[in-house]
Amino acid sequence: MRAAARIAAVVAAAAVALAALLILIEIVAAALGSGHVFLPYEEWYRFARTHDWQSDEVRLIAIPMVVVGIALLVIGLAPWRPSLVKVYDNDAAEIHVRRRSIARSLERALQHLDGVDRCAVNVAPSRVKVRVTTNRRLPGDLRPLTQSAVSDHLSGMGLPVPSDVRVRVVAPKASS
Amino acid sequence: MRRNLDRVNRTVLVVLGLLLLAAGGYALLRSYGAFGSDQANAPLLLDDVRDWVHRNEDWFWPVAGVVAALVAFAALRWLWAQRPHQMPSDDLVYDGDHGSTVVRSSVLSDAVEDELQHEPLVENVRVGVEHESDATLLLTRLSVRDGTPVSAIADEIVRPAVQHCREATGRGATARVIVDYAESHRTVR
Repeated sequence: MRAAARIAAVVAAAAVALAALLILIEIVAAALGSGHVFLPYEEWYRFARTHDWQSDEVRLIAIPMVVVGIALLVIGLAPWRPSLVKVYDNDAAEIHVRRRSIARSLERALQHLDGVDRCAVNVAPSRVKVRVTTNRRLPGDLRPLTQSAVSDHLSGMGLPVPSDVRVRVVAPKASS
Repeated sequence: MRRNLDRVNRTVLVVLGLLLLAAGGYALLRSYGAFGSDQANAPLLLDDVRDWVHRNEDWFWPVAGVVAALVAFAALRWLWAQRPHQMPSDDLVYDGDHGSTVVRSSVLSDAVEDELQHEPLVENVRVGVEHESDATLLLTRLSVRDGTPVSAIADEIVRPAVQHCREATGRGATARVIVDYAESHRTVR
């Protein structure tokens, strides 16, 4: 969500800056006695005088405003998980590990498990979620094996082991 | 710094979202007659509003121009803040009775990077130097071999480098390290 917010912030900042600069240019141009430079405000003025609130154009403008407004609120209010996990702290150093890097490391470790075809790992501060696609017809003990592999890998690296390790095993569809 | 930027982004996005939602929601509600059919049938720009702006145009447009300029400035600053942050590079200054000696930041950061690069577990390293009142802070982005234990990073890689920095500068030093586990390993040193 942090990356989405960064992208939304760049787009919103550029849009607001552009709109404000264009308005400023039009105000200055009008004060100097010339017509519009970029924004055809004379047409907009005529439109606003001749259309009422029920016109389709108003609705066509209002609906995207509502949609974008809701999207910005979702991005701004959704919980953002910390991107770094603090793993060591003393007088000489403070060490943080990127959450995404821990997830990639776990994926590489789990890839070596017997029966694992593909896997995707998501690391939250108090939970690890693993989605394993297996090439076995019957998953068998793959779930507990994956859970213990996650715990072993994290504890072997001295990283905090969350109590909640959720594993979802996806088996291939049986062919008829 | 980064945490501040996240907070600013959140706040501004929420404010913009509320403004857009309020304006768009109001237009839709009014358009579909939620405030009565008279309101829905009224023109977008009322004569009263037009007359008011016309009567006050000697101050209204200058104020609108100033507000537009302030909004543009704030938005450009917000946009500028989104750029990727550079590593800090504070020079170290030793003041004496007859002048001062400056140790360039790059000298210190290059020395620490060079030391860390020679560690077998380290794949890549970037070091920035920030000087606080009584200590040097080494901001370090460290890419290490996958599976390297935290204790090895702390005791075998970071601690000696911090100790050597303390000895070289004659002042306190600490490191703030951000670790990535590298997928591939260096083959050439």
